[in-house]
Amino acid sequence: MQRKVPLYLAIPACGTALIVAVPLIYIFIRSAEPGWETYLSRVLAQSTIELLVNTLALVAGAIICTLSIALPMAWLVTRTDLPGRRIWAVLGALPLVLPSYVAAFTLVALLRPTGYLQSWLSPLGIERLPDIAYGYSGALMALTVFSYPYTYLLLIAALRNLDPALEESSRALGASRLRTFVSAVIPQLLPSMLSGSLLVSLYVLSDFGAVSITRYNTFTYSIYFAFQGRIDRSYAASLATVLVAVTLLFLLVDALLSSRFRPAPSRPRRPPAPIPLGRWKWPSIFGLCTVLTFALFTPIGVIIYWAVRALWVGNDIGSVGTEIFSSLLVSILAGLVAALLAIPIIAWAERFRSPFARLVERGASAGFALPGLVIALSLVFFVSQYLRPIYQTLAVLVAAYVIRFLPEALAAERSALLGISTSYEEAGRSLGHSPLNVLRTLTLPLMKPGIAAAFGLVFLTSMKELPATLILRPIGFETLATRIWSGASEAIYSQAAIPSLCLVGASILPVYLLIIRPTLSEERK
Amino acid sequence: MTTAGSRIMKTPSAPSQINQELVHEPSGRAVTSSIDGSSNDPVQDEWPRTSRQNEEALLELHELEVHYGDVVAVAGAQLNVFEGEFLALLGPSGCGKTSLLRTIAGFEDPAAGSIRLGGREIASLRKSVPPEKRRVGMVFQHGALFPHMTVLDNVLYGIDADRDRRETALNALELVGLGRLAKRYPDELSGGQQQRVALARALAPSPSIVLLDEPFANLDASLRGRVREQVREILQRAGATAVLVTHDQEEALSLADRIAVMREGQVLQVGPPEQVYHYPETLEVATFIGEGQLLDCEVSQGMVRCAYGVAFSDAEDGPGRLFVRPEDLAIMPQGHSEGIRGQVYRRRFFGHDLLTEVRTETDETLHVRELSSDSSTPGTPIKVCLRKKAFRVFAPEAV
Repeated sequence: MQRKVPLYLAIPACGTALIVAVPLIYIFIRSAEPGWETYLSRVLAQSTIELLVNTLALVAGAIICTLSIALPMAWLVTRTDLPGRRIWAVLGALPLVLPSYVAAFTLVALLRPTGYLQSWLSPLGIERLPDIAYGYSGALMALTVFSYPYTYLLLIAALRNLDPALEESSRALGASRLRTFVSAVIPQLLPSMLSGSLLVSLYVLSDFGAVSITRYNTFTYSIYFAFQGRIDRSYAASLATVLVAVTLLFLLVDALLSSRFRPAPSRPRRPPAPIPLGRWKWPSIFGLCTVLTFALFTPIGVIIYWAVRALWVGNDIGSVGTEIFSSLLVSILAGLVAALLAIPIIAWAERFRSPFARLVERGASAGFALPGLVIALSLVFFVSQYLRPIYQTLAVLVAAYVIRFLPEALAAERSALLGISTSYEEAGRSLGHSPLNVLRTLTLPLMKPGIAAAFGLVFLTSMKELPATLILRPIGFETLATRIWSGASEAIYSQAAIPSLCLVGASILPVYLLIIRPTLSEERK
Repeated sequence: MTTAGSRIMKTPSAPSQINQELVHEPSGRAVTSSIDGSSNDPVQDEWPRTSRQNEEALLELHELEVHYGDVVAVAGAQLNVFEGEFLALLGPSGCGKTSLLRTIAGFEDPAAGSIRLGGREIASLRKSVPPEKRRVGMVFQHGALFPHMTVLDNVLYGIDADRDRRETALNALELVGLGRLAKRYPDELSGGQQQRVALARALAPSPSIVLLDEPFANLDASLRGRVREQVREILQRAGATAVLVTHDQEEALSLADRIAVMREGQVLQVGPPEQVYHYPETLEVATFIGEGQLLDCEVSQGMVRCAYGVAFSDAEDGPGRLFVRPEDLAIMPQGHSEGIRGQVYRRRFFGHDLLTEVRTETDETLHVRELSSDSSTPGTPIKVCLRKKAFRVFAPEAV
């Protein structure tokens, strides 16, 4: 509708995109610094190939495990007469409150060769459990528990949007219940399964907490220690470029596959009749309980056990107040900055038909595909080279959070803005107000819930962020996440327990309000 | 801004009344987009909006084109809107009528042509006055009342800051009869009330012209008729010039002073509802508005002859195709002097009237609309003849 470039939107939007893009480009420059031959020999080294195999094996395992948990669970809580469906539905998504490193250390505490499980079994003469808590199996369990809720919530939304007439037509045409599910339901769930699996892959590729605690050697693990070794940081940069390339490959595959899906043209008008479980009722409840035991009750039980024990023994927990304050401070700052910076980008890209604005929006979303560790490294390289005075300040840490989580703010504000009819803005213009005035008096007030959600999501994920915090925090600055990690990686669980409890406790409400409830209440619209 | 006094009031006449006059002066043939102004023609006086050729139009669209990428939404539209009139842009969905309206409002830019409002060019390829500077009021399909503001604040939004802002807003609300709802929020109003507030909001800044984009489309059928009448009355009292976009023929025919029929991005015909309905200039207009059928006929010296009877027409001499609507035909007993023999084949009953399908002896199928009390049973041998006395005749090759 407007011909002129809205400078009041374009300038801040381009500025933000630059802040996001420049350090990331710089990491490539830095990795090539020792020369192309060195770079290529590093990238193609046997050890790099091993890392690649390890990482991809973990991704593949996580995709399979999350799908096999999420699909039956989502189906049970949406389409059957399972008693207490709503409560199960919420409980199933609650592992979202657990950061991967908390899930990892609680599983290690339970399952390591001489963990709780072994001590409970020792009366039976079992001296050692098989070593499943560490390495591939441990990392896989922790990451499955941590990431299946994303696929699960996407599948719930998809199942709720299914047109029951499709299944009814299939049954009326003589197909059995099973055949109907396989040939009429599953194909419609494929897009959600794919996007869920993409999310899981991105989480696994970028995870540092779980793999470091379970000591499974992936890219992030190696990059971190290559960086902390501090002999030649360009090696860490080289590995990071490979990780970025792998991530981009996943995004490409996702884009190629999802372009082949055709959405169902109709929308359901009525909820489908619940399928009676009959004699499968108790086995279903048992299955749900098993998953939740591993994914939710055990981790929380372990945390509470250690927290109580730490208090009982009288461990020094006085300093946790400082960490709570530090975590809140940086996360609130990151949330505010991200929610604010997202506004001009979204307003420009969605309200002005400009391909360039779309490009800027894409660029600003790059953090979605980039592991926090890579963002942190690139910032270290860039800031220590060109912005020495702010090196090792909170500003850089907040910048890393903003770069990493800006896509979440963009998504929340985009969906808020897309929900606002352009008629309001057009009416405002017709009534004599300039575009800027319309933005201020109409668009922004109407976007308020979306802006609040953007803040909340960035705040929540920043609270839990680990690798960037470890790398970028000023010396002596501890957050809840760093305290948990240092306690957990040295197996001093009493040190990790109370910060974990604080972090999980602080996450429950935002997770429920911002992620779980919006998905579960969508059916009523 | 027009005053209510300059507005020529017209009570909608029943079509039959007009037809009676046409018997004496069958000159309904329209060649240009509005029939020419031979002003001593009695027919012209029935259609007051048509004789304004000498007057300068308030809104002039000249050869207007609007494109969306490769899609041509408006293709060389030509239209004049005169001060104080209520014009309906009627067309099927996708004909470009909404694009046309949005271009007038300034939300789209023309790819060619120009728009002049009150003698000032507001849009062309070179120039585009931003929407906020056009003084064009807009009423949207869903009302688009700002949900976070009260009714009063909505109306205040468009009024310039001066001492009488509040009074102006309250006056506008009184005009639409909703002054008592000033403190409410839009979600507390019914659909009809919302549209009236939207109208008050659009009128409050005294715009040169008010554009209405399918404002009744989202109302319940039971409410629609009443809200339409209210809106029409409000616009009349305000003396406003208005352009209404609609795909609903009944709405356009019953509300507007003039109708502009649009199709595929072009304005096909502009004229008073009765003229557009009874004397469509093209077959496209004829078949878009209402129902109709074409019958073979022969024209000579202002008279048209066909198997069904004789009538007036101003078409050129020679063979032609007579355009008849179901209500232009009548069913008569077999003994009637005029008409063609046939048989009642099927009836469709609508309550107030009835559509009878007749098979003639020449094996043609015709639809005849009758009052429901005049019904004849299927199988009855009857005669079909012309009820109206003047008709539009199309050239044979136009078919």
